[in-house]
This record gives sequence, C-alpha cells and structure tokens, in this order.
Amino acid sequence: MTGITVKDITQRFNRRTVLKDVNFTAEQGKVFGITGKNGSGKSTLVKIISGIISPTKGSIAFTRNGEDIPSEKRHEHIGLVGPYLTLYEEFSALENLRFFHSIRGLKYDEQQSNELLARLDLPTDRSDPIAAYSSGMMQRMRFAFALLHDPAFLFLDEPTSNLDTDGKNKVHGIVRELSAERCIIIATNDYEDFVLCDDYYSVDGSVPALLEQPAN
Amino acid sequence: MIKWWKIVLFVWIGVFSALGIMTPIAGGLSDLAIFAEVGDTRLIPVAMKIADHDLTEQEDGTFLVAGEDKYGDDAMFVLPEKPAGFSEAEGYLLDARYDKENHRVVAAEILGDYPGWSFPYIPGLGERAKIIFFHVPMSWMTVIAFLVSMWFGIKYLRKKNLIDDAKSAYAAGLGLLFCILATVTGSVWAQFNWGTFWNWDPRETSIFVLLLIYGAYFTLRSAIEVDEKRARLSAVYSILAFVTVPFFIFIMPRILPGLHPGSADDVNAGPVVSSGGMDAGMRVILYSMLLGCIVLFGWLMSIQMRVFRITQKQEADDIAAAEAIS
Amino acid sequence: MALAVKPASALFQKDVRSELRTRYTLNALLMFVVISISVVLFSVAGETLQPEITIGMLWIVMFFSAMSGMSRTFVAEEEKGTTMTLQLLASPSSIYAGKLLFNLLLIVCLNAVIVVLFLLTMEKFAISQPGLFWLVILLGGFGIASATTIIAAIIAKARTKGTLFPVLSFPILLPLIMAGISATKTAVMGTTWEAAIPDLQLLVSYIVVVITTSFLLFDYVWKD
Repeated sequence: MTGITVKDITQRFNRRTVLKDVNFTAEQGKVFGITGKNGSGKSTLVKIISGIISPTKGSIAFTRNGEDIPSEKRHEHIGLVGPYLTLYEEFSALENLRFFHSIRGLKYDEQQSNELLARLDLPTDRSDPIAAYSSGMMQRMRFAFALLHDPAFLFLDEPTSNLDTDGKNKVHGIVRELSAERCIIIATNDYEDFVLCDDYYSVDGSVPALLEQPAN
Repeated sequence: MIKWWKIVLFVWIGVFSALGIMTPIAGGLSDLAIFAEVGDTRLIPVAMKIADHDLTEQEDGTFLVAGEDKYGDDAMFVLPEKPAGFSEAEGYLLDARYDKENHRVVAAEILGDYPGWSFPYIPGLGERAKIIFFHVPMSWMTVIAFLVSMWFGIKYLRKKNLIDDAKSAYAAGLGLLFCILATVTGSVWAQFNWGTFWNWDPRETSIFVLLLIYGAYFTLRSAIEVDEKRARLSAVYSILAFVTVPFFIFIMPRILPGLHPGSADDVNAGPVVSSGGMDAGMRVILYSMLLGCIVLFGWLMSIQMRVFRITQKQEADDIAAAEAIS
Repeated sequence: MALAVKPASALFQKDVRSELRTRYTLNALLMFVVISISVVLFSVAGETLQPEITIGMLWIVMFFSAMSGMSRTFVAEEEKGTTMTLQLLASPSSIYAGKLLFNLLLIVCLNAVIVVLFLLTMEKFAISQPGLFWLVILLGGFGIASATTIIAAIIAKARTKGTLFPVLSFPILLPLIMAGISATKTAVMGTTWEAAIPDLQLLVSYIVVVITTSFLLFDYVWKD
C-alpha cells in the first residue's frame, strides 16, 4: 500500500490553535481534497504534511509499497506546489532544473528537462533569469519543480490559482493522469479542482458550500 | 498563608549568613610562624587557650602566660595587660605576632574570649575570606540556572510545550540576576584584595562571557514574535552556548594563569572547594548557603510560573470571550 | 541524520554560482575589508605598533568581516523566500553541510585577503613562524565559520538580523578568538611552535564540538 496517515495533528501559533486533532488517510489511486475557508489552516496543514513545519502535536506516516518512509527521506518522495514556494529567480529555468536534479542526486538530462518544460507549456529557448516570468509561468515552473523527480506523493496547494483556463485544464489533466499511480492531495477552494477529489477533509469542520453547488 | 518551608528557608539563609559573617577568624602558631619567618611583623588574629593560670608580670608591664593554640601547639604568649576575670577565662582571641627570638606570641590587643568555633586564618585574605559564602554560591547558581534553563529548552524541543519554554526563560532570568550579583560582589571584593575592580583573570572572563550569553539569549528572545519559534530558537542557542561555555568555566580557568584559586599557576591550594583543602566548618556553611540559594531559586521559579499560568488563563479567557461575541 | 555528500556539494555549487552572478556579498565584503584596514592604518598613522596590538587589530578585522559576511547565505535564502523550496529538496543535515562548506570557502578567501593586506600595509609586522601563522589563521577561520553558520540560520528567522548576528556570535566565539589570538602571538613572536599546542588543541576541539552540535540541532532551526 502507498499512502499517508495523518494522526492527531494539532498546530498552535502564539497559543492560537490553528489546527486541532486532524485525522485522515490518503491513498494511492485516489485524489484527496483539503478544503476550508481562507485562513482556516489549509496551507499550514499542507506544509505540515510536506515536512516544512513540524506540528505541535501528532504524527504523519508515509508508506510506500508497504514500507514506512522515515522523515529524513521524505523529501525524496514528495512533490509540492504552493503559492508560497519561490524558485531561484536569479537563474534561468534550465539552471533551476539542473540545480534541483543535482541536489536530489539525480542525473541531469537537458533533453528530458526540455520535455518537462514543454509539457507544462513553458518556453524551452529562454536562458534569462526566471525573475522576468509572469505569475502564470511561475506557477507552471512550480509544477516543473514538483514533478521532476517523479514523486509518489504530490501535494497541490491552490494549484490552479494564477492560471488561465488552458493552464487549469492542463493541471487537471496532469492530476487525472498521475492519480492512478500516485497519492495526490489537493488543498483548494476552487470547485473545478474539487470535483477531481474522491474524498476530502474540511479543515474548519464546515461542510464546504461548494459541495452543494450543482455540478454542471 | 505562609507555608512552613518558606519560614525555614528564611531562617536557614539568615542563620548561615550570620554564622558566615560573625564567626571569628583565628589562626594558630603555624600561621604566625609563616610571617615571622619572612620578618613580616603584621598582626593576625590567633586563638590561644590558657594552659596554666599562672601570670608572670614582666619588666615592661606585660604578662606572660603558658598556653596552646587552637590546633593544640604549646606556646608561651604575652598579654599587654591583666584582663579582668583572668582566673576563670578559658583563653583569648588575640591580635598578635610571633617573637622568634624569645619563642613567644606577643599580643597587641585582646580581641575577645577564646572562640569555641572559628575559621582558619588564610594568609593574604583574613576577614575577606568570608566572601566565599556569598560570592561562590552566586557564581554556582549562575551556572546551575543556566543548566536548568537549557534543560527546559531541551524539554521544549522534545515535547513542544510552551510551559517548558517559560520555565527556561525564567530560569535564565534568575541566572542573569545571580550572574550580575556574582560579578558585582566579586568586582568590589577584587578592588579590596587585588587592587582593581577588574583584572581579566580567566574566572572574571568566564563570568563576563556568561553575562554576555544571558544578554544575547534575551536579545534573541525579544527579536522573535511567534512564541513557538522563539521557544525553539532560544533553546537551540542555549544548547549551543552550553557546549562552548565549558571551555570557559571549566577548561580555560584551569589551564590559564590567574588570580583565583585553582588557576594553572596557583601553587598553594588548587581549587579551594573541590580539592578538599577547605576547613570543614566553612564548607558546611558554603554548602548550606548553596542549598539555600537553590531552594530560593526554585521558589522564585514557582512564583513566576504561577504568574505565567494566571496570565495564560486570562488570555485564554479573553480569546474565548472574543470568540463568543463574534 | 542522513548526510549525503551530493546534495551538500550541489547546494555549495549553487551558492557559489549565485554569488558569482550577483556579487552581493563579495563586493560588499571586499569593500568592508578595505575600509576597516584603512581605519586601522589611519589610526596608526605610520607609527610602529607592538606586535600584540597588530595581532589584536588583525583579529578584530577578521571578526567583524566575518560578522558582515557569514550570515549572508541563510539570510539570502530567507529574503528570496526559497527556504521552503530548499526544505523540499534536501535533508536538513545536507543543507547545513552545504552552507557550512560555502562559509568555509568564503572565510578562507576573506581571511587570506585580510592577512595579505595586513602584511603589505604593516611594514614592521614580521612573522617568526609563517607555517604556524597560516595554520592558525586557517583554523581560526574554520572555527568562526563553523560557529556562525548555525547562528546565521537562527538569526535568519528573527526580525533584526544584522545587529543580532554579532550579539549572538560573540559570546560563542570568544573561546575561539582568545585561543586564536594566543596562538597567533606564539606564531609571530614565539620561537617554538610547541608553545602553541594547547591553543591548537583548543581550536580543533572547538571546531569539532561546534560542528557536531550544529548537525544535531539544525533540524530545529531549519523547520518552522
């Protein structure tokens, strides 16, 4: 089995409880949704699952093919897309990808990297620093960052913000394509993202209003 | 209601402070001989017991008496006048020097009756030796408070409970207080004993570094706004400081030459407290004062923790009230 | 504690390339060194100094140059907002190792520049044992870099980064600086290098202790 078990996660900032006793399981082959109003702690939960924040209480277990992944190895299996991620803006797209390959201990292949960029509709012929990229292109670069090591666990935080319809469709296509083999978690308020999810967890406990929205 | 142990604590510290201050310092023949040997005619306090109540009046109007000192060495000693009640007296505490040629102790003044309990005379220190009952416990408390602070810091890193962080910070606060007291008492004492307020002797350097570390610790705390982050980073800093501070507190003062006992070039005593060269009575008082300081420290900690819990509860109530309104 | 050499060296190379491209730190540091040595020279104004004073000045310049340069690697990641990205790319220990490598390189270059400028401008500053002298400068630099790397990671998370850095670093560095100054004196004025052995031992054990502790603690600093 490949999946994530989130157990009794509690997070406090300045004695304010942001998350309280979060429990859920996400499995390979299913897309898991995290919903909640803005500021309810969706991103905090995603950061905790990704290992960026260590929670005040509780634990998260990663299992890949029945084997437990220790916390110091998890970054090798996780791909995260989030609005708070910044890439190295003083480098070009390919230089960024080359650095990501080498720091992950992967062999860098320019051909492959160009294919990845092309797949995300990013220009392959630009060697200028990505600081000049638009916010939509930056969001696609984040996908390149998250997908390049072919992770088993993919966490998407507001994946379609900053994207046009084309981009959204592209992302949804990627999610559908990968969901059979991967464990995918999407944190979103966007109805179109949410319909992809097989199961969900609501951070603020409320049943999301968007569920009641007719799916037309 | 005042709990009984608080009264015990006050009495304890009071009694041992009084014992430390009031107990007379009295040397013996061997102390007198050291000065006589080098021709030093200074007067030092000695305790002489009367062995034979026969007084011999001498030509210059002084009186010669047979006696023994506090360590049991026999000697003749000379009193400047015949004291009242001589026939009942057990002995005297004298301000005296040693007359090498005539082999007798010559008293310039009778300071008082023979003390049943006294501290040994330490050459070069005299009465100033008594600082040890205050300065040394304070210096140790500085280090103990630091250890307690780090201990709760580690506990916070393991359990992520903000109460541990509060304890860590309060221990550091008290440590800073003890550190300042130790520095000030030591510095004032150094002016009288070594001639300057500050000499950059290795011990002085190490307490100064502790002062800096405490200062840096609180500066760091004030520069972080999120409680959890502050707790984590300050705990890390105190551990980091702890692994480097031993270089100062324990290694450097022992390998570098200095003025404090136990320095590398100290041929007399070695570390006063740990080597066992200290008078048993002084040691009892020193350890009792240290114990008193530790209990006082624990008490102050518990008061501060009570304040912390009350403020925390109040804040929680405020948040709950605010949420109830909205 | 999963320390892989590859991620560390990749991060190191990235930092070097980024530094060579932007030159934020390098130019500023070079100017800082030139300025502080000029201040020393102005204040001396042609007088011949006692070697003890020159050594003290040398260490002051080395300390404050390190204070203006060593915090850069972590503060830069925090300012650019790439800390989280880095967290997803490698284990904390390899991040620490990579940053430590970069700081070691930086301080070796920095100290080399400082010492060479000192030797060129202080005409009467003769060194009796050059081998020992350079060894002490190297070890001293390593010690400064090893202690300040984790402090840089700490202050990167705080508000007043620039001023906080020397405040936190100085007490931690003091044992190292004192041993360093004493060993430098032996190298400059002494006749045998054996006299510096206790100081060298202290320098080496300091470096080992601080780096080991940093590896153990870095996790808590690095993760929010």
